[in-house]
Amino acid sequence: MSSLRNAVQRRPYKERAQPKAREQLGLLEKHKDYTLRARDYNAKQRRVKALRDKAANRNPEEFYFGMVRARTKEGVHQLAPEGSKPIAPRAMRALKAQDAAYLAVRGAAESKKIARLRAALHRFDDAGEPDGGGGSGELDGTGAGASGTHTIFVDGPAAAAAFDAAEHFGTAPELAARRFNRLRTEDLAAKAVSVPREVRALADAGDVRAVDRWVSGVRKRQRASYAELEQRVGREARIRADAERIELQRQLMGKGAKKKLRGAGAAAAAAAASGAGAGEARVGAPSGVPRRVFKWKPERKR
Amino acid sequence: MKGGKKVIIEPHRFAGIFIARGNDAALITKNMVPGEAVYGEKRITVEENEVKVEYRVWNPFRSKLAAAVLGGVDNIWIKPGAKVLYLGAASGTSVSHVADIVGDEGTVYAVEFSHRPGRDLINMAKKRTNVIPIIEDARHPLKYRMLIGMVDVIFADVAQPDQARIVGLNAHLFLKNEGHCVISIKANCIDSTAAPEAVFAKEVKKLKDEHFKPLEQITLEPYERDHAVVIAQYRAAKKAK
Repeated sequence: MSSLRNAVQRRPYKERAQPKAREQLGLLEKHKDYTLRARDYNAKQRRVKALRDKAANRNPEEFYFGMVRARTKEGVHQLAPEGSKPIAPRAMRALKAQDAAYLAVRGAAESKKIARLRAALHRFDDAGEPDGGGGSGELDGTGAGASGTHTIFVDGPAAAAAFDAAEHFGTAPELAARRFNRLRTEDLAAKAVSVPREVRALADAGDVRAVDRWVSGVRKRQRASYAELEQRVGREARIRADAERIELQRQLMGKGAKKKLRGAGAAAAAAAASGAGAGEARVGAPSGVPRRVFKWKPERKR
Repeated sequence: MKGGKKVIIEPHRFAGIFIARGNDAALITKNMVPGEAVYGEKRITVEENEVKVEYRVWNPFRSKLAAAVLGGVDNIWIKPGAKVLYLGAASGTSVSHVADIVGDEGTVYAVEFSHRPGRDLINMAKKRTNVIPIIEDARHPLKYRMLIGMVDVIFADVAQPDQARIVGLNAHLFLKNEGHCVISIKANCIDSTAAPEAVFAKEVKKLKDEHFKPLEQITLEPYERDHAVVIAQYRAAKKAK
């Protein structure tokens, strides 16, 4: 019988939607919504009743140790302020380990990003001087990128005295100091190898201002890239310093007899007294916080 | 790679090397195998005369040759069509850029002794037909003499105390007269007790004994510490009096 009933397609059950006239009241509550709401309401009622019963059945003579330090303020009971409970040293040590691990992860992520940025930001001193036409228009001064010493071997002191950088490199005198790309004189007129099509179209149309605008946009983007790099380098240094500080705290909370070799105050005084000593005391602490130094007693372990 | 529509490619002093300016400011070489990076480096695609061309960023922190180029050497002698003997090729990261520079006309003979990086080198060479990988000790050039013809340039980055001797051995066999060598010297690997400048000077002296005439030397700060690149000419012609 039932199989016969199943064979005939039945009209699917549809719950009523909110009538058009009552649309301002929002969605119409369905039975499943009502069940949830009712269950929640009843649970709250039960809880309130339980508290009420507890208060009614209270023994006024009862004593709890918590009452010793409990205070009221204008008749209102004061809860203990958050965090006033001391954390056990062992738990604290575990928390510090978590902090240190988190900082290590962040530091590693940061250094990876720095490496990626550095790989493609070669410090062409000028934060970008791409003149639309090619390499020769605006020439930049010194190379802030590479800073190594360049030695050129010449034949004898006479040649050394007569040495002229621009002549030796076969470039324009103003380019002799531009390390990363001293274009040869014969290549100075060379056009850029590739310029975006829309910029070339602007240049062909003679719209000098639009080209200039585009060039300054490139410069702006490059400056932003360099700024990001700088920011990340600073952040990484701070993260590393914090990780080191927390690790020291964690070690100090651990076992073993230890002796303070140099405190923060002493190191700061030493740094102030001699400029040379500052480097040693401040290693790894770019924020200028001098390092404290401890020594653990060697302990035989079985 | 995105960003190619907003990049200008400029010519560089050395043929085969270019400069990209966009979000980045980077030294680049034209990728021989478009669509593939060798060591995860950034790629830049631009349109040149309606043809798509891909460039790869050359990281000076990973390549001493790139660091020397950014440092402003007069000439690296590695140019399109050149035959280069590359000693100490490692995984072939720098070799791939040298291969980009010399192009299809040139050849790079990349010698590496260790098998592990040598495997990466061979994989890189599978894609770049102008690279000939040789897994041999550069101290024994006779072992691979059958594979190499005369070369124009020797680049050496072997980081061994007897580097100058290794370069000399290879130069006597393969380097043509008036050819050049470009040597990267890591002061620590030659003599970790002496001052870097003294080590460099000593290496230059050793090169002179191997019939090289030093042309220039550049230290690689800030990319590498206590490294120098020395460029010298082999059996230079005597100056006309």
